[in-house]
Amino acid sequence: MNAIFLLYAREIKSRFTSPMIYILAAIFSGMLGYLFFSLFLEANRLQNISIESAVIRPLFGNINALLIFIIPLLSMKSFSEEKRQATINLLFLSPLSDRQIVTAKILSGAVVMVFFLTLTFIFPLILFMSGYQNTASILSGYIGVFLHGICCLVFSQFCSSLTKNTALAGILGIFGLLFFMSFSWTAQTSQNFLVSQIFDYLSLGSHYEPFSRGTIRSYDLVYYMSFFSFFWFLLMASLDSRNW
Amino acid sequence: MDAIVADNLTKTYPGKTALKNFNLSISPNTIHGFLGPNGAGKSTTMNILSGLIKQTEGKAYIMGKETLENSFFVRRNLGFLPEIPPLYGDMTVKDFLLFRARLYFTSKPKAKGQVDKALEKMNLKEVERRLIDHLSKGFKQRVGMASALIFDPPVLILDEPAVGLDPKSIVEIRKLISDLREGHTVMFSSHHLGEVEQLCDEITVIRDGRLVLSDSYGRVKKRFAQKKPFEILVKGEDQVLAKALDGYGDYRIVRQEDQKKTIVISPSQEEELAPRLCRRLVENGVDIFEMKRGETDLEEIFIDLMEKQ
Repeated sequence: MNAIFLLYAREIKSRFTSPMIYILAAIFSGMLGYLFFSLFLEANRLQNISIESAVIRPLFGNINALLIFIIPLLSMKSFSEEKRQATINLLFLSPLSDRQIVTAKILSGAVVMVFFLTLTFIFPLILFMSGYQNTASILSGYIGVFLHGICCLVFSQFCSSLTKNTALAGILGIFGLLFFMSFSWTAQTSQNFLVSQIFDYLSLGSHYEPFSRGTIRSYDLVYYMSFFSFFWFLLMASLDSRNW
Repeated sequence: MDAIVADNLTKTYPGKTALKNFNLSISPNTIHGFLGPNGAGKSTTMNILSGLIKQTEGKAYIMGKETLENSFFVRRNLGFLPEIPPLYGDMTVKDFLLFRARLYFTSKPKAKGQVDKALEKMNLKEVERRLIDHLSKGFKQRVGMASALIFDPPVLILDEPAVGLDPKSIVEIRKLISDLREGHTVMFSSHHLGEVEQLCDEITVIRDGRLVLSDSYGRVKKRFAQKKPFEILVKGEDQVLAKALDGYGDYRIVRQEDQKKTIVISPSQEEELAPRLCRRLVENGVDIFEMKRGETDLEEIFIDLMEKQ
């Protein structure tokens, strides 16, 4: 536990002293702020539409969409830079297991993601100040965003572990996640019901929407847990591949 | 029990055999020099011994424990300094060493004590608050050494520890390695043959992934010295000399002044010839005025071994 904390603390310090995180945070906040403002004005204009469908659902949808780009950019250096600078050997020579290394990296990545999510807390706060009272849908929306983000994180870290090239790791992460999102398009266009259902379930983009409606389904939780576990396993295997 | 053992190690990469049936034993509390030309397989061997890469065949042992099965034992007992020291450039020297120490010692005061010792030993006090990225190559190498020594491991493997350092730092690193003799087993590779000669109790020479020689430096030196020619200043007839030196090797007269002749004889046998040769010459009525043999240094031995291969 001590070793995980040490590596986690090092990672956090390194990430928060890099200007990259603040540049991305500014872009993330700016884009969501503009979007929220537009949605909010639109909701005021259209009287016969609920705040959930006019603001909350599109807002969470867009947070999730942005995370597909932000998280790979934040995670691309995680393993690739360590490989490039050979500092990964320092970890492999230390009394740290691969599991501890992965846990510390994922934990620090999750903290960075939570930092990004805290920047969005201003939006529900404005809604509450405007009289909106359904905290459950906001809370479940954030649970959905968190689960979606964690899946993006483990996938991006896996991509980072595959190469020494940081830019390539970022590109692999973004396009890989877009690939998982694209399954829902296949599902929509498929004529076969079974194929459509399978692709819909496999799509990363099909599972966060119920959360923003205030619905937490085991169906979606199982998907997120399976996705996370599968890429965690691949990430461990990628680190272990030095022994193959 | 030997501190480091390589038992029939083979490492193959697609299209290349980096190491072929390589054997090595290093006794505890010795300094072992690891020599070979570039691409001979030194770094591969060291990486396998430290557990960083896995061998294709064979086994490696550190303090009697097989490295693959006892990975955590190896990590706690072996300090490894790779050719390019792995350092976190975004940390200060002190923070980096403290991070390394805390991975081994749960007690913070103990870890801090180790860091202070390492800073002192490696003369890093003046740069302890500087970012590693901003340090010179020499200081980075010292931080790498401090990092490898931070948990006081009984076995140390150093891959070219003095490469790229200025003369002052080289002397300091050599002194440090020499000081480690007590209670540590040190294996280090180097292209500075003088350095190896000065520090090592044992040497191993590798070429093209194969073992060329592994022995105590004293024995290697003696063995090679026996092949060196004798230069003898004698007084005697040519026929007498020919008879006396028959069977000892080729000889030639290189100088002749008055009746004294300087002869150079290259011994044909690899054994200590000097006493027998003297006796034989005297028995045959040859007067000996002077007898000397050239010194053998590691450079000569190394070049001889490489040429033979």
